[in-house]
Amino acid sequence: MNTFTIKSLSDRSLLLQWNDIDSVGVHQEVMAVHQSLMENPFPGFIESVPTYTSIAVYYDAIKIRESHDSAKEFVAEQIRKISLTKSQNQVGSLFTIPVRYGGIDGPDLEDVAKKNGITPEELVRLHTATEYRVYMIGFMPGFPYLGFTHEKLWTQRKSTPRLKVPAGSVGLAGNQTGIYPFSSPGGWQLIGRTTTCLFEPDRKKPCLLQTGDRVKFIAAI
Amino acid sequence: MKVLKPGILSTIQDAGRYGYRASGIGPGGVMDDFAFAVLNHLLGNDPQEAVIEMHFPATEFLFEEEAVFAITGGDFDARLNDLSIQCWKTVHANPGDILRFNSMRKGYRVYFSVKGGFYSENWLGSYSTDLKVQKGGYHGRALKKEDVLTLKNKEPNIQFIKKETPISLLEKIYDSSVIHCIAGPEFDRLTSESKAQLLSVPLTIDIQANRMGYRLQQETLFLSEPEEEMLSSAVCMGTVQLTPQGELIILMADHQITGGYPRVLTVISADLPKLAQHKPGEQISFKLITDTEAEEKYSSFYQMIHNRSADEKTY
Repeated sequence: MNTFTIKSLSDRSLLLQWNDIDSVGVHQEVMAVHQSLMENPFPGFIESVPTYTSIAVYYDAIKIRESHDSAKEFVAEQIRKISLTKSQNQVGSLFTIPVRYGGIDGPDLEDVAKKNGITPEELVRLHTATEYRVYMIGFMPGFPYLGFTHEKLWTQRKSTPRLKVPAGSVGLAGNQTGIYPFSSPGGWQLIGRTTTCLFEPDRKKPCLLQTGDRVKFIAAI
Repeated sequence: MKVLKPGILSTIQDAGRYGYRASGIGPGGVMDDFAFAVLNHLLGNDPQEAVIEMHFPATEFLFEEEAVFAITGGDFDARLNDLSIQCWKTVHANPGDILRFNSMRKGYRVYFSVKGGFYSENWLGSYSTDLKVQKGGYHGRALKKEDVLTLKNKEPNIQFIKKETPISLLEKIYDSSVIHCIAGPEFDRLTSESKAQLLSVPLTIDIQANRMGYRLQQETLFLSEPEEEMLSSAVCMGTVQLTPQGELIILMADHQITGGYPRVLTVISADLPKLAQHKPGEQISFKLITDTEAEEKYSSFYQMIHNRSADEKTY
């Protein structure tokens, strides 16, 4: 079992940091804390943001100080009480996402394949072979950071980001893959595009994917 | 009320949209918490009532109904029918009156609202405008010419209570360029020279200073162990990031939820309004305090805003 350190992120939020080796095991602990806080929020809890190897916990310091001398100490104490054994029982939902690979939908696919010494077909095969885990949502509403890709897919971000990446674009950066819910400037290498809607603001739960969910890509005809 | 001239960026904002960070939806909300709270207090509005945040050039409004209003935040030389009006003070307006802002005298953004507030769109529990998603506030966007704002107050004769905020209180909040911070999660990765520099040298706010973040011009700073890419992690308003090029960015209200840059400092909540009223070309300096001190200052700041009936004067 890993342990985490607790630091202030601000005067009304804390950061729990696991040792910086990203792995499913660490992330399961991150998710255990996140889920525990959602299910049994301490008085003054606002929200938490799980990422690869850390979780930020945001709280109402003023409210907590009505009954405690230090909001930070109170929150840290509540966090230390959380049992991490829940990690065994987590199973996020599985989503299958159809992607049109290459061509105008994936303008960087050929380059990435070439740099990595594989064919474009092999790249698609490898990208669709892995069941990815959603490690975090960030950068923009609904943008999932999915890990981790096969070695042969590893790539740098583009040195000059595109001014406009079309909505639904599927990209690669480092050892991650992701999907742009909105059209936006972006530096990920684009290998395809999906019509699956990742973010619908009028839905009760606007974001399709949540941290801890699983994603499998399939090549659309 | 009608918008005669839109202004460069005027949006409806409230205290922010909380509970959705894990979906990548940031809180947004007002840049200057203090001006927001005082505005609602002066008008006798609900403390959560949404207001209009404006930059310069600001919006020109035509009052189509009688109203009581106030302006807080910066000083943009407000005029009602060309007569100079004071900020931080309730003012009465008649139908046909025109409110405009002639010059940027002090500060970087102003807040405007009326007694009773305006109708606007609620998205996920907040009326703040999310410009990326285009939801909340005034149809999810900045104000445009010909836009009409509907006042909630339907009373035929508005009770006009004259109130104004004492200058001594404003001086306490705004009159300094020292920005107190706590050490960020990656503060200790700075070289000792860089730490010393960061905490002593005045830093000029770059022209790229907006609702997303404030860039600072300064000498390059260094990490003692630079990493190629840090794993993305959560941030907040006030987080001071250090880019690979050695530049500093202070994240503000419309920041992204996560970032991949080292977080070297975090501006304390009590000093965010002051920072929000500094503008490009102006200088600030960082002062490091402890987590405990920061929380105490936040508490005092909050008391100052909310337990102010003794402070406020009638005129």
